[in-house]
Parts: sequence; C-alpha cells; structure tokens
Amino acid sequence: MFAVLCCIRFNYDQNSHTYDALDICVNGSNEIDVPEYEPGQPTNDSFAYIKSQSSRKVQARFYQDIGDIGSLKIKATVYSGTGFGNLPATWVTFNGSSNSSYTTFTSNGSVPSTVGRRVFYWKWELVDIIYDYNRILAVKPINHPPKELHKERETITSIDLPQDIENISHLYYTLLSSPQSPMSVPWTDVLDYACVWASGESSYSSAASKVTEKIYNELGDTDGDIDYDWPRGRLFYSSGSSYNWRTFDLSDFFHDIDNNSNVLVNCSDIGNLVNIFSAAIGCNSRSKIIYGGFGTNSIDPIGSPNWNTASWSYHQYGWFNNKVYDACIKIDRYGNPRIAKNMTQSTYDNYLLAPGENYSNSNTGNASVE
Amino acid sequence: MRSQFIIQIYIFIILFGISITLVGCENSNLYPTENGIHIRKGYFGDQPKEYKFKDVNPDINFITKFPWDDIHKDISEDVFNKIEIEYWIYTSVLAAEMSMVEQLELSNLLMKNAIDHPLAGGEIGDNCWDALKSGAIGFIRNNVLIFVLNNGTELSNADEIENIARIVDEALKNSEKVSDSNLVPVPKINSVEIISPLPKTWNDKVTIKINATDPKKLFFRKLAAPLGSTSDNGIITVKIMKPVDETGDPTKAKIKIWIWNEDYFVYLLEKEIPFGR
Repeated sequence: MFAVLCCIRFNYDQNSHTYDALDICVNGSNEIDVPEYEPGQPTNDSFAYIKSQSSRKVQARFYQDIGDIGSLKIKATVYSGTGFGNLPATWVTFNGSSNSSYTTFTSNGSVPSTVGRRVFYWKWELVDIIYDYNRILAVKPINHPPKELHKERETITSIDLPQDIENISHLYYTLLSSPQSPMSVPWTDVLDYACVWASGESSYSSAASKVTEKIYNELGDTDGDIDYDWPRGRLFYSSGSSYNWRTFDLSDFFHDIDNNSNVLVNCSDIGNLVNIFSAAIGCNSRSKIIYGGFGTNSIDPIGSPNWNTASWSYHQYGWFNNKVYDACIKIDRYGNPRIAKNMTQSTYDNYLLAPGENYSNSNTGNASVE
Repeated sequence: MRSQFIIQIYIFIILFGISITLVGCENSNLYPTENGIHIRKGYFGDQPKEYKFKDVNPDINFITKFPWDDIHKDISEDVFNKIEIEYWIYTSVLAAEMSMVEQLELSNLLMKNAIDHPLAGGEIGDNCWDALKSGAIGFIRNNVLIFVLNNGTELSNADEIENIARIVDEALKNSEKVSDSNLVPVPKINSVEIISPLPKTWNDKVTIKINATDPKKLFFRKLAAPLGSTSDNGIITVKIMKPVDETGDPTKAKIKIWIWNEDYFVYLLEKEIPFGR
C-alpha cells in the first residue's frame, strides 16, 4: 500500500451547508461525529444533502509510506450506486511528511434531484506523484550524488499508476430543502423512514403525501403495525396542554416501535409524526387541531380498528401549505376510501364530519421533540 | 428556659396540627357540597378544564378485588370477545376521581358526564362518563375506576356496552369491601430517590428512582403524562410543572406518580421536589 485514506469529512463546516453536507444527528442522544468516515470505526456515518446541489465539497486526509513525497494526486470515482459525482484528481500535499492535512475535493456532479436514501461506492485511486527532491538531497547528499539520486528516482517512479487506495461505501440522504423545525437538525432515525417513503419525489406536496400514506400503511412496531387507541384515543407520546398537544416524545416512540408489539397512538401522536417526518425532509409543515366536539362519518383509524363513527372533542392532523395531511384515519364519503393528503380543509370537513356536525375552533402549530 | 420549651412545643403542635389539616383537606375530596356536586380541575393550561363529580359518602368502603368471576357468569364469551373491560383499584375515591380526570384529559374521545346527560336506563357507578355511540363508558364505583369499551375489531353496539357496564357495576356493588384502605393490596413503596441534579425552575426535568415491591410486575407513570411514558424499572424523568389542579400547592414542586401492578392495584405516590441552586 502506497497511500492510505485516513478520513473523510462531509459536514466539515457545521455552521453552513453552502458547500458541504447538512448537520444531522442519529437521534436525541447520539450525534454524528465528523469525520464521518474513519477506518476502523464501527460504522461509516451517514450524511445528507439538499436535492440538486452541485459541486459538493468533501475533505479527506491521507497517509503515505512511499517515502519523500511532495504531493500525491488522488481521485475518487463512483463505481457503484447513485452518488453525487466523482472527485476529480486533486493534489494532496505531504511536503515530505507521512500524513497530509485535510485536502478539499469538489465533486463534478450533482446530488440527485429527488428525495432518497442512497448508497454508493467511491473508488479512491492514486494517479500521480511529485517527489520532494529537495528533501531527498538534503537527507542523502553524500551517499546519493545526483547520478545516484537519479537512479533512485527512476526506481521510485517505477510505481505503476494509477494505484488503488480504497473502495468505500457511503450512505447519504437527499432532502427537498433545508430541514425544518422541529427537525432542523434531522435525526437519521427519522430520515431512515421519511427519505425511503418519499423516495423519488421532488415536490413538497408529493413528498408530504407519501409520508402521510406510509405512516398510515407502513409505520409499524414489532408486529408490523401501530394501532389507534380505539375508542378512547388517548395520548401516548404527545403532551402539552389542552388542544395544543404538540410536544412529542420521539425517543420513547422509536424505542417502543423497535421493542413492543402493541404500540398505541391517537390523532395527536400521528399528527405530530406527519409534522416531524415531513419537516425532516424540508417541508415547512405544521399540525392542525380542530376542536369543540363533533361527530364523524365512518372512519378507519390507523391499525386494527375497523370502520366506525366517533364523537371527538378534537382531532389533530398534519398541515402543510394550507392543506390537510391526515395519516391517522381513512375517510370515505362516496364509497371511495382515502387518506386525506394535499386536501383542502373544506373537502376534508365534508368527508370527516357527520351531517350537521361542526367544530367551533382550530389552531395550527409546530411540534417540539423530546 | 422552661417557658421557651413549652412555647416550642405549642408551636410544634400548631404546626403539626396545620400539617395534618392540610393533608386531611387534600383527602376531603372537596365535599360534601351544598348541591352534592364537586368540581375537579384538569391538569393543563392556565385555565384548566373543570369536571363535575357527584359527592359520595366519605365513609365509603374499599373494594379489594375485581369481581371477574361474577362478571363472567353474566356475560357470554361471544360478547366478551367484542369488548374490553379495564379497571384500576385505588386506595381512595380521590385517587379514582383524579384518574378519571386524567383519562378524560388525555383523550380525544368526547365523553359526557351523567350529571348533565343522565343515562336513560338509570345511574351507573358513583360517577359516570359515556360515549356510548363510540363504544365507551367509564365510571367510578367506590375506589375502582372502570372502562367498558368496544375493542374496535368486533364492534358492539351502544346498548351492549351499557348493559355490560351495568353488570360490572352490580358485581362491584355486591363485592366484598373493607373499611381500612390499608387493606387494598397496592404496591409497597420502599424508597424514592432523586438521581439527577435538582431542578432550578419550573419546567426543568428531574429523574427519580422509585424502589417499590410487589409480587407482580410494576409500572410507573407520572400523573397526566402521556401513556407511552410508562416505565417498568421505577426510573422516571419528569418535567416539574406548576400545579394547576386543586390538589397542588402552586409554590411547591410536587410530582404525583401512579404505581400499579399487573392486577391494576394502584398507589398514588406524591413526592416533593426541592429546587436546586
């Protein structure tokens, strides 16, 4: 081995993402350390970009054991998966040392234009060498007269180029735009769901719709689904105050869906989840609460409860761009059951409310996460 | 010196008397009242919701066992498959009423109290709330809180739910009772430790460890906390909130924690949390 990749930083500037990756974390307890890649660390940490960003910069450090090296020219090429471009050959300076400092590489491609959770491989290669002849002369002036030095140079430069350095896989997330509060520093625990669910989507409304659909249809605990607490609709993960149940214990929720088979939720829990999951991928979403006491048409709550009517003191759902995104229930007025997504309030009311029923108040607000 | 000592004793007696009075006041359940109805406040917001309760006899006796056998005799297996009966047995009517308020506060189901909306078939329990069209009724009988619910998969009708509630209530009325609440077999609390830094102000968090014993598995949850925050190891992290219900002193940080076992015998622990500097 002539050169070794010591580490790669994707989010090297944690105050900005103008050139580099976004600031993300694993969850409420675990940060993602930079550099994201270091040989020998248990996992190769993930990173995130906003869709269609070009010329992303990454920084890498190398070790070389060739000898008195001035610089090594190194490149990285995507050889598998969907990356965000190759890293064209760039000189990495050693100045006679075994270790380089961080060198910035600029990708020649763009981040995909749609939401996703993607894996790709970069093949890192050494493509050229500049020797530090001054150092060679300084160290070996007597025993290596110019003629001998020339011979040594010929020996060293007989290294076949390009030389493989390493093939490394990376997992990264593509978001629609800057992640929004309460996920302004998004959790990868959330992105692992949201970016897969909204995979391939490039608009806010379609991505929020996918998140809504998938929460209703696919978000599951260890037995595969989460169930509405029928008929009581008690709060399991949301707290706050009356008609403002917007503090969500996301850590508890993830713990429970990973470990329990009977996770129960109500509309506040699900409304907050729509808010949180869509905010993580860049939607400036909220949740809306309608209250005042009303009866519903037949609804099919998330999980095992069947179609039935309910009398509710309030109902909470996702709210984005003045449209309803309700992952808690299916509604059906005309023999066409559906999940409300990108739906106007008046259409939603028409589906949800039993004839003659109405709510007296409503509010919108953003979740906070614990 | 002697007179000082006597004065100190008097002060001690006065203070001790006050402290007893305060505790007694808290357990008085705010009644009897003139109109036979007392109000319990909810747990949230500057203007918490208010819930009406009928006064009950303060010398009430305590149920120490849920009468499953008697209930089973009167309900067919077919009906049992369509419903759920939940119950919790407390050491006081106050705790049962506080728990009912909590159940109403933490739910989006619109339940009507039987004081303003009496059931056509007559009273159920000492206090009762229902949403029978949605398949739910909850009531308190002595020191027991009961919910009868359709389970959402095999929907049962309102009449069926109400009928089952009446059967359960009748079984509770006829069940054996004791006059000493200490005989209700709730979990035993051995110690309560604060294992985190003390809170400095309202809304700070504090973690406590409750060491309790019971032959059955135990569960712990702060009063009015979402149900997903239930702990099974006795360690609970709670936010110190200014009390808004009538049972709290707004100048003191006091947390109330439900501790129950698999048989749903519930102890309400109250722990004062000092503020740190």
